Amino acid sequence: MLEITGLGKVYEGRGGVEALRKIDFRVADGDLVCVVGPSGCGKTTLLKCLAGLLSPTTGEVRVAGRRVTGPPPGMAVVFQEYGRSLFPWMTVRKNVELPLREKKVPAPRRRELVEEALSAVGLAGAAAAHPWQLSGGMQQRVAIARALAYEPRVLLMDEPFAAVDAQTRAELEDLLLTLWRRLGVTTLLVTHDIDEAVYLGRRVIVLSSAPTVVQEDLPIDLPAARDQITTRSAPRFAELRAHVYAQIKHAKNGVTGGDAPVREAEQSGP
Amino acid sequence: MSTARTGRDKRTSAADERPAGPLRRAGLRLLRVLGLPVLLILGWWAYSSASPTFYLPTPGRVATAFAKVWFSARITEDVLPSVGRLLTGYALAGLLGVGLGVAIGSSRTLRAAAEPVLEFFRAVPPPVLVPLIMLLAGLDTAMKVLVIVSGCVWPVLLNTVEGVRAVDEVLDDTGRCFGLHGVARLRHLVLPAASPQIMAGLRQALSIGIILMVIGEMFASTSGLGHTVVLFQRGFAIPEMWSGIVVLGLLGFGLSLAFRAVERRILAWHLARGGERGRHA
Repeated sequence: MLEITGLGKVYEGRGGVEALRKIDFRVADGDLVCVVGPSGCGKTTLLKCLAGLLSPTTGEVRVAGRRVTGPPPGMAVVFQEYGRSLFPWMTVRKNVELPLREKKVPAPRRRELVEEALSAVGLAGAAAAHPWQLSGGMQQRVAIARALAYEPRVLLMDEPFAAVDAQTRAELEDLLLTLWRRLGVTTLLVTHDIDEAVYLGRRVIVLSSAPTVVQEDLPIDLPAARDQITTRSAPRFAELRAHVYAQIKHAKNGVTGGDAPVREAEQSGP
Repeated sequence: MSTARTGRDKRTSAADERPAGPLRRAGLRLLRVLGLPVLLILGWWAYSSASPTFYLPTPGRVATAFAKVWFSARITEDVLPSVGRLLTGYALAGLLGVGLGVAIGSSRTLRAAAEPVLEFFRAVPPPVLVPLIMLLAGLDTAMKVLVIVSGCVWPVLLNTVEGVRAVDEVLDDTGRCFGLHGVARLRHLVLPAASPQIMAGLRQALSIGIILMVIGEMFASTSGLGHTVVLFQRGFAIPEMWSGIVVLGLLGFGLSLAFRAVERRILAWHLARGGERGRHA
């Protein structure tokens, strides 16, 4: 569904900063992939290239076989800054509905989609409120509802839960998993939180520090049904987490990760 | 806990928040609103009757003149045409300012090219353009409207540029991802995002517009409020002249109230969030 080939991005200007060197990976239809990396490794740059908001310097991104040159249709994005990604002059309902209008969805269907999406995120009662009247977690739910109502084939999320408190974060993580399981939408989530990446992902892609390459592409062999308590206390979770942690530490120190720890982790798996 | 207590402390320290019946509260409110104007008029009355001069008539004489002069054909011959020209010029300046402002604010190259020139025109005091516009456009209604446009357009334009330029990047990215472009982007994203700034510009433009309306009519005119005030002054009809000044004051006050009502509607989302009215750029 999502193919990234030889993606590189150099920011023009003084000296030219090479943010991404060469990124290659694919995301299969219906998969849920988390991208983690040390801070400043260009996670957001990568996501913007995938979303068609930035044009890459080298390489290309394809969505469903079509090369991305601008924001591709059928792709929805949830940003970290919920406070800045919702339209403050519109009610929650209008916020969710606006992209559907632009997509020329007929009004009755629009209403249906909005209702469905809002009740899926548990905000059916808040449709008439303005975003700034809601808590941070609720605002991010609105952003998720907007993305879902859009019926995207690919959902991109840029550190979507980084700006909410720990309890809300856990709730939203489980909400995302529930919705993903129900809708099977191809999802790519960028995060700096290793636990979150391992907890949510079917696969975790570890990026090196800038200039960035894919340091590791790690399948997460945890049971499909995840639970904040049992999954997070499973020995395998701890192993995977420790492994990713070590990889990121390597990346920070500029060591391109050795293969040894990967095999170790794989061997000790169930 | 502690916040609740400080809240109460604040309340008790504010003298006028004592528990009071609704009638009493309304009375206090009325007193607050009307107190100072009544006091000023009384002071004026006392001063003008204690030391009567030709140039400062008592409020009573001004009121009599007011009723005689303005409850007459002057309403249709002077007041309404003046107000009509003001609103026409103001509306044109608003459309022009917002239109050009959106274009300049959206394009970096256009902005770089236009900004110094705009700052220059904004710095020119609008009244000095009146003689020039008189030469270019003659002495008719078009001239007076043009004078108003020439002064009102700058604050609107510059504030719109500023507001459009400051559209949040994340919001813009969000819009792009969800296929918001062209007219829809303008309507749902750019204009609402810039509206606090645009309204700030329009508010400044309103007071400039009233000034220019009067000046335009004082220079060369046969009707209008500014013309009438000058006419009375030249004829030494002093109470009548004063009444004209009162009409202008009331007009400005009324328009400002109307503007605030409109602003409160348009910027409801912004004001309710605790957003201040946009400052001018």
